[in-house]
Amino acid sequence: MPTDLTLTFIVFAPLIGALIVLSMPVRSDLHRFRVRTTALFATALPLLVALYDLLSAVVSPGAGAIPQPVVDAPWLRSFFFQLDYHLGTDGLNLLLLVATTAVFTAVVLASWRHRERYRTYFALLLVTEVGITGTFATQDLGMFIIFFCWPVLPLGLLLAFGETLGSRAAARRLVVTQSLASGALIAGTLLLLLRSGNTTLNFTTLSTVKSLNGTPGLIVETLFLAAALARMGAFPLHRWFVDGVSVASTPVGMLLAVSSLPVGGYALVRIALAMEPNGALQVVVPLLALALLTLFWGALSARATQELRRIAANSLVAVGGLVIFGAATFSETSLSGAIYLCFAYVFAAPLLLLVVGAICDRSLLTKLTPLAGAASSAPRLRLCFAIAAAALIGIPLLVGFPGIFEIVIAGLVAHRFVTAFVLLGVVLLTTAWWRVGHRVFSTNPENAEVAAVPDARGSEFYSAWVLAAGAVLFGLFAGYFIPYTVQGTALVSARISAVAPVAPVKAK
Amino acid sequence: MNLAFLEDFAPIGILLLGAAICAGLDLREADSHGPALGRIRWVALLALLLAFAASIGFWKSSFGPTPPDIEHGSLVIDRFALFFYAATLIAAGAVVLCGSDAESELDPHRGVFYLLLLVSCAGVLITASATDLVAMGAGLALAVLPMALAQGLRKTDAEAVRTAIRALSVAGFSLVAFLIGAALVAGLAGTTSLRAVPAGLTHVDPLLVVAATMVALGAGAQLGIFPFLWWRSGAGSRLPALPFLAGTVLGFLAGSAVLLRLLAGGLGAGPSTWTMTVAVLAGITVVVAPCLAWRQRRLGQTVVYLLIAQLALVLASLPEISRQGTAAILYLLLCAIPLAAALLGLLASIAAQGEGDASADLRGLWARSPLLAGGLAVLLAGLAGLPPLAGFFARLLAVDTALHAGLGWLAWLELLSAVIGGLVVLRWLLTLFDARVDGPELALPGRTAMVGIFLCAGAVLSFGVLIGPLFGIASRAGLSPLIGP
Repeated sequence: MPTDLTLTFIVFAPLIGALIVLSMPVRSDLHRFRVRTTALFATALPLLVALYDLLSAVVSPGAGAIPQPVVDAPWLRSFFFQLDYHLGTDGLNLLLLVATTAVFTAVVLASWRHRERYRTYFALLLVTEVGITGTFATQDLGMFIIFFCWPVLPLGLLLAFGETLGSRAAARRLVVTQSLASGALIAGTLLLLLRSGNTTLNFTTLSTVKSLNGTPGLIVETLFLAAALARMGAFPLHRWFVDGVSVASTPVGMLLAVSSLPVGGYALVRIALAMEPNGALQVVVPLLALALLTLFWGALSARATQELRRIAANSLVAVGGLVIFGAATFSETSLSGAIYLCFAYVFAAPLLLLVVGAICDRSLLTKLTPLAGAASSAPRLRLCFAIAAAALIGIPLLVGFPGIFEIVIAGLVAHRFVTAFVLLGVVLLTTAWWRVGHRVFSTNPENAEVAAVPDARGSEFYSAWVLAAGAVLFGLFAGYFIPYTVQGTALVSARISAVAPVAPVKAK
Repeated sequence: MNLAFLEDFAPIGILLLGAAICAGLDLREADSHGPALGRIRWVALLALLLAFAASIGFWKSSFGPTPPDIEHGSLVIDRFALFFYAATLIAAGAVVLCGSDAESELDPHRGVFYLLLLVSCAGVLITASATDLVAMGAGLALAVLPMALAQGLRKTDAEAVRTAIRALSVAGFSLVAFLIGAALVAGLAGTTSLRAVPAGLTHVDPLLVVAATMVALGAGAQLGIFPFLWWRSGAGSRLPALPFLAGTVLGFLAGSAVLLRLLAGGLGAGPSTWTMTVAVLAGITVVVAPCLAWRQRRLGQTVVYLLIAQLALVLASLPEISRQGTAAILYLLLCAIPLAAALLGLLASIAAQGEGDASADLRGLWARSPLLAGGLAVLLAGLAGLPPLAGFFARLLAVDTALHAGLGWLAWLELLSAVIGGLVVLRWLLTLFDARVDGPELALPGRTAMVGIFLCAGAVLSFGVLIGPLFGIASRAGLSPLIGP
């Protein structure tokens, strides 16, 4: 049975791990082994607790609508707004929270051979986990802001420590973009409170107060959208993500992936739509346009570029277009699809980057043409790549399928014409990945001088195994989780329906 | 003869008595560098501790259901004043502890420094208690001038003396600006009593804007607001570290106390013609200071500019004349003081080892001295406002306060300032953690300095989490009879 301390433990255990790691010596190999083992424990324990304690809530009848378990304690009173230490899981955030804990375990495993700045690296990695799990676990907008801003500097440092060409510039871009996004979120929140006369930042309360009308609502919504879309890496705010992933080491790239679209997509649904539905209704057309632009820009860029990491980064940007489209459709089905696709992304995107990183790191090549056939004798990498790519384009039985299916079905009802373009974008995205898969993993006797990339093994294999298992299992058993997610999104959809002149069509 | 008034003056009296003892010890031992010279620090700390203990009595009684205000005509010991009493005495104690590694550079004038420090503390206490323009001016002079004088104590360094003379001149100039502003207010209101000023200001007079601007400039100079930020940063100077640290921290407190008492308190109830002037000054400072910080190649000056950017939020929050607005300012001060003491103390300790604070000197410090670099990194992260550290909440409250005051543009400038500050700190963090290691291994600060820095770093780390109770105290202190219309 979940207790009040469960979520606090899941969120803050990595912070304790970071402090322990910082205090450990790193003079010998044994010391370094202890450091990474500590980091592994600090990430694996929250995962085990989350799996054991939280996932059981999914099968409870009617669960998902009301946050449970909950810890709620007053934090700041007597100011213009009230701040609470309020954590809780519901249909919107539970799966994302569980998946994030799994991915961080995989990231630590992927960092097993890391050698530079040992303590700092693992400590920053663990601190980043606190920020991302906290973003998902909180039920208070004030705390959401804190956790939303939390990982910016640690991620910037991790990226800059890569010391590859352009890593510092990419870190600067990340910090500036995400600081501005955080600023937009703060400004939007404060304006919302000021205009609505509300003082509490509790999600439940905020989603029941009257939405702002006219220009104030539009301004608040624009600020919320800017924050969410910048974090997602949506067009035209995607450069920080593409540049970051293309210069980062493989584990840091995985971190960037898990801290971008899942957090941004969640903020889009939880904050931008649920908190300001009137404003959201005013920006439907721009949102749909942005969804198509992001999808096509990402897919076409991935198709056009030769750099393997950039192909992966751009194709991940394109997935953001699908999430935006799902959010802009407003029905509970499409919103559930958007959240489930974010959930799928948490497993599939790091897996994709892990495979791409492994190929580039071992071959010391980054361009697609010289890599022809390089990974033809690496069946594990090939399988992982296939799972990741297939999950992200919605191949049945994998974790991405339910999300994309729900988005498309709801989209066909609400925006038939746009949905046709979305499907075209998915096809383009598929061709981009097909090109990579075909080029890198199939045998190419004409390029025999390229040394074959060794297959995944050791900690890297376990890391990939964790992510691939998540992508397959949560796809196979999606039937258990989808109703739970729908319960969470139903409240958001109902709130939008309540203020909409014509209620959005509910897809069955 | 009724000597009850002595009780009310106990904290200030103890400080002045401590100053007299420091002077005596200095006179006795200055020539011989005898053992008493080393004891002066502890005498000063004892005086600060006793003064703090004496303040606690008032503090406890003022938090009852009907808190008594103890009047002295031109001084009052209300909760607002007591907040500053506590903050000043703790800050001065933190400065003495954190900067202890650098006190030897003041020899043979160590005793004079502690004398000036205690007198300056008494000045801040008088400033915070003042309800009369004349008393406020006297208190501010007493707070500012001793520390400006103390900066000239390293007489063996001609460059340091020249900079100290410049600092003294600017301090004098800022005091004159304040006194002209105060005189104009007194002339317009027909009284020097702050309680009577709002009643005297019955109509909007353009001269009031001039008066408020002069007051804001005079008091704001202590916070380093535009155009005084170059002076407050000690740009290009080789000022002795301990007086510079003490002058910075006590100046912040004295300036904030005057701004709150006079502008938010005295003029707050009158026509609000001054708010835009103050907001513009704050807006310029919050943007210019981090930009100047970006240009610096020395960490000490970068830190001071970033502190100025944070302290400018005090000025930015003044137009919101309410209990919450005042409490936000007080909380901001609580967060900024330990940051300033710990960061400048750490840098003083590095300087005492003969190492510079330029980026070339600190490159790769993490590999050479991990604890020192880790401490610097945590404190710099606090300065950047990284959540959930105290600086983050201070900035958040300031932005909300500006919005409530109807100054949306100022809120945007504050957010922009935070972004630039974040970039500056990122650059320094990258320097500290740089893989290129070129320099000697640095020792940790001395035991006394270590205790001070550890306590201040603990405050930086915990004040964000403890925002609830701390803000509660700040809001009680913000509900003074002089605050709000």
